[in-house]
Amino acid sequence: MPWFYLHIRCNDVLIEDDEGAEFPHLAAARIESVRSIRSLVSGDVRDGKLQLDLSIEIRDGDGSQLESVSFDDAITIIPPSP
Amino acid sequence: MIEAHLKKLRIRDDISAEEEAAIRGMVSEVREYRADQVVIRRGQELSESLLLLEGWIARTKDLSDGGRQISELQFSGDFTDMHGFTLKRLDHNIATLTPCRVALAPHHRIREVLDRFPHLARVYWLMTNIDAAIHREWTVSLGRRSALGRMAHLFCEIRERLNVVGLADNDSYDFPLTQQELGECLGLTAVHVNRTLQEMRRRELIELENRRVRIRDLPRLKSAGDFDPYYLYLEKRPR
Repeated sequence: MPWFYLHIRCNDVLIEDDEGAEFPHLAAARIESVRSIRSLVSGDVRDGKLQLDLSIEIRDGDGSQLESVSFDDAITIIPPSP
Repeated sequence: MIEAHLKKLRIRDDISAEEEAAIRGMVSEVREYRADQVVIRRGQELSESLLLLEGWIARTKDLSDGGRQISELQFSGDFTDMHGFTLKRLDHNIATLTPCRVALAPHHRIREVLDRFPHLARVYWLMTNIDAAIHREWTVSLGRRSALGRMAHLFCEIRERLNVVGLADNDSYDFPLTQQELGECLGLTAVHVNRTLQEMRRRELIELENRRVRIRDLPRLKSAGDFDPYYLYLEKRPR
């Protein structure tokens, strides 16, 4: 199974994934990225903050960027009813 | 072979020479497992219990979405499933995290030893009670602690438990888990584990490199995890 690296990009700071993980394909890595954004955002909200400029950059073993998954891809914002 | 196990028991109660000989006689065959192997499956009928000699094992539950939760870690000297003696089947899996060596204790032999030595029956009852206390503490972590708090708490617990069996050395120990596995203990994704580890490094609480944890500031790490070893019952009393 191929290895993918899920780096966190937040306000221009990159938190690198040194370990990576095996996923059967990029789609599975994308699903995990969505779950991860939700996990990170939940953690932040619990501490009283919410970072909107948050994304996961999926790269392969050579460091090439395959895809970026953003806050908006992971979380639906429901505005107040008019 | 069972030195780690005896250390674990003797922290909590006296074990006589006769009782020690009986425990040695209880375990027979030694088996080796590779990493990431399900050794006992949920629902499997049980006729033996496994004493972990080397390696790390986890109690796990599989979720319908394909995910997995680890509800306890086990180290050298732990019976992975003494509770299987009374339960006859488990509501969880036992899975290796690293290559492991285990010694088998057939249930009929356990029964003979516990019938002859009622004190040992109480000691093993105590050990399953302590497992339950660990589960309760993990429940508090998952329910109420922040990601960093859960992680700090776990690193403190592992240190305490490995210290008992001589596997922690000046506040550092081998830590063979992947970020995914650590996440399964803490209810976090691997990515969230990564960010939390970076935060722990930034706060100079721990170092984690080449699969080895070094605790840099134990009092602050305990404070971050709200850790008190009270629930591990590290005290010797007649049982």
